[in-house]
Amino acid sequence: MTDSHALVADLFRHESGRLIALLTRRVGAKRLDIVEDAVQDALLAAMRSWPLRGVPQNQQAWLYTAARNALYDRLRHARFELPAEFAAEPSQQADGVFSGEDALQDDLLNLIVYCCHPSLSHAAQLTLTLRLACGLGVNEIAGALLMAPDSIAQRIVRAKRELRDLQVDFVLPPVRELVEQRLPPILQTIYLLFDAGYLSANHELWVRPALCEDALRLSRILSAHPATAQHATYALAALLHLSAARLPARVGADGWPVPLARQDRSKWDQRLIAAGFRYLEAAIGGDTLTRYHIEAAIAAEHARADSVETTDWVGILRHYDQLCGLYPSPVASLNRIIALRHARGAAEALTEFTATEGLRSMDDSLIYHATLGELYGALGEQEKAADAFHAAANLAASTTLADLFRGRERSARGE
Amino acid sequence: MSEFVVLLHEDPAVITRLGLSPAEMQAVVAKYSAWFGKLGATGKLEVSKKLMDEGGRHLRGKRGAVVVSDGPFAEAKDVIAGLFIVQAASYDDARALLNDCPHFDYGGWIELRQIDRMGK
Repeated sequence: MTDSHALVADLFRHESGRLIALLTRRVGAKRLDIVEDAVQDALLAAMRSWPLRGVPQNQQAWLYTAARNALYDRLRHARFELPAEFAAEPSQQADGVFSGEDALQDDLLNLIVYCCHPSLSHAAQLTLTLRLACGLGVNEIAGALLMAPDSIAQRIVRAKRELRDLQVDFVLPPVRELVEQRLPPILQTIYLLFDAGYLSANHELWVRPALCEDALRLSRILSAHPATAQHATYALAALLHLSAARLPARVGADGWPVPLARQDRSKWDQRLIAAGFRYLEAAIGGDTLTRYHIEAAIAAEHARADSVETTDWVGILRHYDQLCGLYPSPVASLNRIIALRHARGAAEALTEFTATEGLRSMDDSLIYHATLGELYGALGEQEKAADAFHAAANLAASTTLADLFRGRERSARGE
Repeated sequence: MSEFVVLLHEDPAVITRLGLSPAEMQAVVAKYSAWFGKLGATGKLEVSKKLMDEGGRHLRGKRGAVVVSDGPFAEAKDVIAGLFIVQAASYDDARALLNDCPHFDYGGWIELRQIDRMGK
């Protein structure tokens, strides 16, 4: 047997994004579909070849050469004009263009800027980023976003057509435009990417931790890139690192999600917490206070505390007041209620819960009923608590979560 | 012990239709490589080769001359992607080695041929 090297983790997914970015820059955005096919060719070639010949030592260079040659063949076959650097016969070796880390980050940034074009809806931006930059298949995106694969496929086709019709090119806009107009939707997409991975709706799926990893990775790349290293970017990176630090404690040995109050804080990733605090420090000083700043400050309060009891809930409530004032949303209001419960007690929290009009729009969500159940439970109204947990269980997107809330319903009913 | 050639057949269109995602393709590589590693560790695997995808050449004798034509690939429904040789006592024994071969995972099929050693 040929000697075989260890496969680099997430190699195919990450190289898919990197190669699409690199090759599209060279042949232009109007050839994006052909580039995607060529990259798919390269990955298929590796899939069929590596088991028999052994996994090569330089896996990235192998895939690059295969993708470049496939693109050359496809462009020639379609009788498209070949860019100068493609005019020569394809090489067996990776040529000089094979990029170092800096060029890689430029290319990836280019691709993300393209995917998050302001003419697309947030949903389309996220879907296209998942597809092109994160290298996810249609079914995997559908699983992560809890949508039907057909709708995802349609959304991708439409988004690509829209960008093609607008003749959006594959170049970085001038720094000013990049920072003022293009960065906000990019940060929003990375935030949603992390959210899709973090929300505990579908623990069974490998995609979820991978999405969190990708969001962290992208936030680091943007924080390191001179064009996008802005206060808002640091604030987002801080928020994601501090939140990701809690991931190891979020799933119990039984596979069930563990609420913050019962998490074993010794499992929190101290390396990520330290990185989060460094980003948070870098985020201070700008003249804008983004929602990422406020949410990172909240995550930092949790990271600082040894337990729920010693957490500065009054401080957290202040942050939530600010968040609800500047960036009002039902989710922010609901989280504020939870902070209020810890800061001033369940009775006051329940009163505000019922008095907050905006929350009603969330009564089709699990977290709405779970919070209500908690509050009733804390106030000794077991029957109402049980009904709320029952509603939460019916809204759970995974059997794991449904079981969790059915268990809480039973204990509230004294069974 | 006899030797068996394992010919790995594929239908390129079937693989394309599967629409595997990058992660799924990497999972195939990981699983298939581990499977080969295990087979290699038994000492029963002699050689494994991937063949070029361009379809090769077909050579035919015609009135004393050899005529060369390109083998089909793109339009072919069945191509041999690669081969390996294993040692086994019988067809049944060889089949048992191949039962869980990941080649089947992406629509491939396997042709098993015993190497003829009659008279040796």
